[in-house]
Amino acid sequence: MTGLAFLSPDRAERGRQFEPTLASPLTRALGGDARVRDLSGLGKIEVRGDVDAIDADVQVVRISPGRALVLCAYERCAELRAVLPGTVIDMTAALAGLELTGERAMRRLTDLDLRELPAVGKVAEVPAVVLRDGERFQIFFPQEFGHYVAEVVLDTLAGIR
Amino acid sequence: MKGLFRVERMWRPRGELKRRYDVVIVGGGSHGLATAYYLAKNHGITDVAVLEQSYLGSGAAGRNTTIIRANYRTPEGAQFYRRSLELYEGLGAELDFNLLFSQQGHLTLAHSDRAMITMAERAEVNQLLGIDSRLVDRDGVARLCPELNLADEVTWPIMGALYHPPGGIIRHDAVVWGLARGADRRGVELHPYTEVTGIERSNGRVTGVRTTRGEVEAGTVISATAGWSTLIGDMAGVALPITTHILQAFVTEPLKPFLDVVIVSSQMHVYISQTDRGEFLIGAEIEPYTTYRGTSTFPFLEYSARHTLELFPQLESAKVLRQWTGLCDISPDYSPILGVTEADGFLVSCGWGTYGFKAAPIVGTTLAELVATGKTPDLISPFALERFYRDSLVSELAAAAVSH
Amino acid sequence: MRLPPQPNERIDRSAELTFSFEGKAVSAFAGDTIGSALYAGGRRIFSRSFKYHRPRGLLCCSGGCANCLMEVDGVPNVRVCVEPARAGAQVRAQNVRGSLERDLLSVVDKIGGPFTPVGFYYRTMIRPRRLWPYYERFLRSVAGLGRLDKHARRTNRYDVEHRHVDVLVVGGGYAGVEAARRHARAGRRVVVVDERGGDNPGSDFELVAPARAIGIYEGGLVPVDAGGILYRFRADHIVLATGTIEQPLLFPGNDLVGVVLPEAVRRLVEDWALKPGERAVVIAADDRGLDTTDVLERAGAVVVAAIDLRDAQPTRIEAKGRRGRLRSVVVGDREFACDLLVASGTPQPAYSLLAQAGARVEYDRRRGIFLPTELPANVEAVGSVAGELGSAAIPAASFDGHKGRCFVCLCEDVTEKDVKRAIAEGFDSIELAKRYTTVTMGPCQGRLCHLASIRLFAREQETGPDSIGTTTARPPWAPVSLGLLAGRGHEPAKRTSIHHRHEEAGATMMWTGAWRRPHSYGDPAAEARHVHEAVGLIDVSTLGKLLVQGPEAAPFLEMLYPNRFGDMKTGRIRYGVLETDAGRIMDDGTIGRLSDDQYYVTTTSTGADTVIEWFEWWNAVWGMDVEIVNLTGALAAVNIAGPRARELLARVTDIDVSNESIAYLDAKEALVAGVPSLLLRIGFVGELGYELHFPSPYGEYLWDTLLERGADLDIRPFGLEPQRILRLEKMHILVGQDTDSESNVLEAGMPWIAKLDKENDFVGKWALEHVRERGFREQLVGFEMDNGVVPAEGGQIVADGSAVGRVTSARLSPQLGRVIGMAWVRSDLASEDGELRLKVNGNLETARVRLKPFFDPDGERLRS
Ligand SMILES: Cc1cc2nc3c(=O)[nH]c(=O)nc-3n(C[C@H](O)[C@H](O)[C@H](O)COP(=O)(O)OP(=O)(O)OC[C@H]3O[C@@H](n4cnc5c(N)ncnc54)[C@H](O)[C@@H]3O)c2cc1C
Ligand code: FES
Repeated sequence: MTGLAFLSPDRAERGRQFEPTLASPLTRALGGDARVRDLSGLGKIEVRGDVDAIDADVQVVRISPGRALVLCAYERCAELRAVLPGTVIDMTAALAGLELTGERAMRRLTDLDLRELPAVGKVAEVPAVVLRDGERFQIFFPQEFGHYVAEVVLDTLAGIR
Repeated sequence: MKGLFRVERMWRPRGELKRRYDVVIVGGGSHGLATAYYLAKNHGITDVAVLEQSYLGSGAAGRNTTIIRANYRTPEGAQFYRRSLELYEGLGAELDFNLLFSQQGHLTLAHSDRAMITMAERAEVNQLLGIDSRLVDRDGVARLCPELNLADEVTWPIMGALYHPPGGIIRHDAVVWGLARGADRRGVELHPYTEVTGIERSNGRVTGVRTTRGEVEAGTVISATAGWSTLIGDMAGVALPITTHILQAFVTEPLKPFLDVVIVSSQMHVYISQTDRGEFLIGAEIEPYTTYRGTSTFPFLEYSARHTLELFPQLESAKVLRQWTGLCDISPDYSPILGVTEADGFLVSCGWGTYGFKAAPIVGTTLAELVATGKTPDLISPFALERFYRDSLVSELAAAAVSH
Repeated sequence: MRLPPQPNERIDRSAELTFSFEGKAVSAFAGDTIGSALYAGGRRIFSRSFKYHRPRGLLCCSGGCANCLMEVDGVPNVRVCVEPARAGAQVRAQNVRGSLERDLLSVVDKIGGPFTPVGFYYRTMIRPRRLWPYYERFLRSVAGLGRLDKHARRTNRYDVEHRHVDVLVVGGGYAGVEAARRHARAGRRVVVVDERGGDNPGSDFELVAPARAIGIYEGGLVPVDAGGILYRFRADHIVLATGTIEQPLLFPGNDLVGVVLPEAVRRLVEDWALKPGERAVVIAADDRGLDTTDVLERAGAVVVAAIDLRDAQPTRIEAKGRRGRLRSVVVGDREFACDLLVASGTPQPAYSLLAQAGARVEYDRRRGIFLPTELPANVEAVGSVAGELGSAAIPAASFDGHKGRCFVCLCEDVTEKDVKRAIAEGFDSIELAKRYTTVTMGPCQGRLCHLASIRLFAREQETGPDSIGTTTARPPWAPVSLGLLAGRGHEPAKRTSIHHRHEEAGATMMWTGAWRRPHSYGDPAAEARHVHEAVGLIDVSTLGKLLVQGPEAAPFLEMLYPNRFGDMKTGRIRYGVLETDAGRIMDDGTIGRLSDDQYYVTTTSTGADTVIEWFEWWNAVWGMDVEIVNLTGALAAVNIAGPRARELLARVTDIDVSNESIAYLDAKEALVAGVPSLLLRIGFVGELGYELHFPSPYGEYLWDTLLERGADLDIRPFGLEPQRILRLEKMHILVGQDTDSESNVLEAGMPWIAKLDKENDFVGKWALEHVRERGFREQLVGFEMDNGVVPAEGGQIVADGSAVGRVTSARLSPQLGRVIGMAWVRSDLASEDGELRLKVNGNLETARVRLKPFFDPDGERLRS
């Protein structure tokens, strides 16, 4: 099998006349709004197979009995791709992510039961993985919806008084 | 005028079931009643019973959104529906019952250039058959329906439409009652609250039906049971390539006249008309799952409202009064299945999906002719059940799926 | 005129405000509704009825009927009895020509009334047919209630909020609050929803008010209308405490202004300190109704008669009036002059939500009302909705009188006579009679007429109430506005990671499925030519992209596609067409072999989701050792095409880009401008071309870099429209445009795709074999116009006046200087150079059949 290098942004090579730069699909829509943190640059790796065997100090979100999403710092992608068990697919490029604060806003974005996170469901009508840390919520979703989701999030926040 | 005030019965009270009829029609919807009516009227065949499990018109006939049009995509389909539309135009006078047929015109919106191509094709097919149907551009749409939101900032801007002037809406109950009265007056027996529970066969021939009110022999059994067709087909041992889905609709509170053309958007899965009572009648496409249970859903209201307001933001404050569902019998090519089956003496009218109400008169005339002459009329031969074995489907996918 | 302050009044007499009614100022207190303020100002007629334009006044005063519908700030059909008074609001009467006091259309009542029996329309205006459109126009012009502003835009903000709670209580009355406290004590999170509001109860539970449950839907979803916001509640347990609905009595004159239900009296007096009348008669079936006697007396009205229907039922009740307003009431053989008649039957439990939740609701013969019997799990009914009512009489189904109409359904103006007539005409089942008379179809949704009409029906039919049986309730429980249902109205849209570059370059954008894509950057013809002459760049990130991997990847694909894949060498690409199980073309794309057991599959942009589901479904069915990974969004993709493409590629990668190293239909992994990429040499647009697939976050970077490094090669972006011209020159099909749901690969002119001699079966194989056996009926061919007219796509090809084919694509090719296209034609017409007659704008134009690509028929440029 090939290593599918073309899936991993961190395999880009800098220097020698090229300086590849990453862009986030949320940047324009968010326009620097401080209420929303752009997490698109995090490392995201999908593991298929025996997800219980994942043994690394990273955040693991179970998507289904045989699938999990591993969230990590961008810099750790290479290392984790090497050690994670089962089929490992680098989804860093596939998923955008953002973090916002406040249950009220989340209730307007998703019908997931916020008492039972992390979970997989729809946010702004788009398939997403949602995590919670107190009042802070992290949402990961297909990057092609990034601009749209960011617009919906800001519009939602505008409706909360 | 006098007849207006005299109380006259529409039909005789339900009588006892006889032991035998020449023709037994299962299903007291628009197709069953039309078939009974034309059997009696066109062919003098009156030893006919219509068996209906509930009240007359309790199925899709009394739940549909009553759009009548002929601008179908295939030549086979278009000429068939054109004939039906012509029959509808004369039916009120013929039945001496006002069907409130409002030929206000019908606009199928195109929101993409792909859709414009489909519309162009339909217009061309229709014109060759003499059906008044044409492609109009955005300005044309604006002239025909100035209330429509033609702005660009919507999700699906309108590029043009297929315009069909003779299309319109009708009062569904009036059609059912008018046909029922017409059939009854000619001697047909109407048996509401009579459910067919089994079909008798011997030597490959259907010989009668079992009902909740006893057994009945029949020369010919016709199933006009729309959403229930596969159940009846199974009783007769005839497998029909049909799945049953629900289709939902709702009406708003009555409002003063606002819209006088039927608006359909396949892209947005919504269609809108305003009835003579002033209610907005709004529907969508079928639900993706198969079921016989007619439970209304809330997401249906939500997305229909969203899409309606894209087209008509003025309706923001209009309120939904009632929502309901009906069963739809979907065939693989979105064309009906009509006529003979492999079981002798067992005819069907099914595969009507979301668009069968407009076909009631032509189904009635052609099936009646088939019973009377034993020959399948040319107009319906493309719709034979056999086509699924001959691989000659009549694809209306581009014209029927959400267009009613 | 207000009464002295009442103990629990809702008005704040220190806060005055004004709004306008029909242009005249009306003053109100904070806490008033528009209805109460109008009433305080002396207004008694609030609306004109639907059909007969009869004057109508406040009846229920609780938002449950249609008697007080008005237009408020341009919004039609507002129930002003519950609509809070707002300073500056513009209120107008609706459904009147003239004024509420003098409505010109009330002639219908005076002249037409007795002459317009139920079913009137069905029996008239049938002949002559040519006049019907005029009648119809008239009919339509008098239909409807409120008026919509044709020019209105969306104005209000509506939000939707999802709530998950342990217990949801609908109804904040005594029973509801009791139940809420009980559940709260057990440690559950409880939310109470109430129509009227009230005081926040503290910390026991959360109160959402004023708010109304719209229904109970699948999975226990309870949407709640709270004004500008829609709550979608999901609760583990639902408590319904919806109380009862007071029911009017049926007697002649029962629609006169001044005939009211008990709740109207209570609200007028207790909430707004208004005196409902001077001289009152009370006729009621239970204590709740009779208690209004005290309320009225406290308010200073004289109760001239209070009749308890439990004691004895009068043989006759008749209300008489003048100009639509009550003057006297006849009860038995006595007549009482009065201006107020409180008339109420047995209150009906408000069971609708219960029925929607799946409860069985049956007619209780002994009590004359519908009662819930079996409740579904997790649903509880408490208080009067559960049948906890005091003793009540069952009033007669209707009372006799001498004249005056007895309305069964006020919203629709249906009288007792109408119902009797419908039955006599043969509409002898409840459902048929309802449809014929339209009783229960109006804005009250049957609240005030369902029970009455059914009891009347049972009496007339002499079937006895037993036959009434059970009943159901259609949602929604209360009318709900489209604006609220629509919410914010966001529609998911996909954008490629290069999207903003196209916008910045001034591209016209268009929708393809959920994607936004550039149609062109201004001049499609020039963009197309440029690809032939120099080099062009197009964003193809929208292509569906799938990784199919595992030991059985090859057999899996061979079973899905008619093509062969097992014999393909690593690093090679093949064009494939997916079939449905009926052998119809479903989608097309390329399949590249990355390694022994890895294939990279592309699909059309709009077909991606369907194909992925299709793959996953078959994988589940066959249970093969294959993994499917959707990479559509992960990877951006661009196509560099044109004679100078190789030169450009050489500048941005280290690998050997010679024709020998990367031949036509080769796939290779490489760094391109430092970005890890998959390079596919394919030629959809007919020139030397490379598709680069790479991580989407580098979309803008790589796009910019290619344009920069290719500047001196005159590289230019091109859009979808030039791409369509280019692919047409090559006769490459567009699935969904050149094919429809009935097309198959054989008749579509791609017989080489279908390897019918493959050992294994594949999806749709039987159908293709069948097509081969039966012979071709029609074929997809190319054509060239004799002259320069461009036929419409969808245009018909005719012979002897009937259709023998249809145009699927047509363009002027700027490169060839000719009009070319593709069409389905009857197969006997599908021979090279054969003549076709096309209908173009009503004229017949000639075209010639072409079976080989118009441009570079042998693919030399592709392979160069
Ligand atoms: C919401 C909705 C909107 C629609 N909109 C349109 C539209 O705008 N235009 C259009 O042309 N079409 C429309 N349709 C489709 C159209 O209503 C149907 O295709 C058509 O009514 C079917 O024919 P019918 O009237 O004979 O069927 P039905 O009225 O369904 O008649 C079938 C009858 O068979 C009875 N039956 C079933 N089983 C038995 C049994 N075992 N024994 C006795 N009786 C039995 C049923 O009770 C029923 O009354 C719509 C359908 C729905 C549900
Ligand atoms: S009086 Fe306002 S709704 Fe009944």
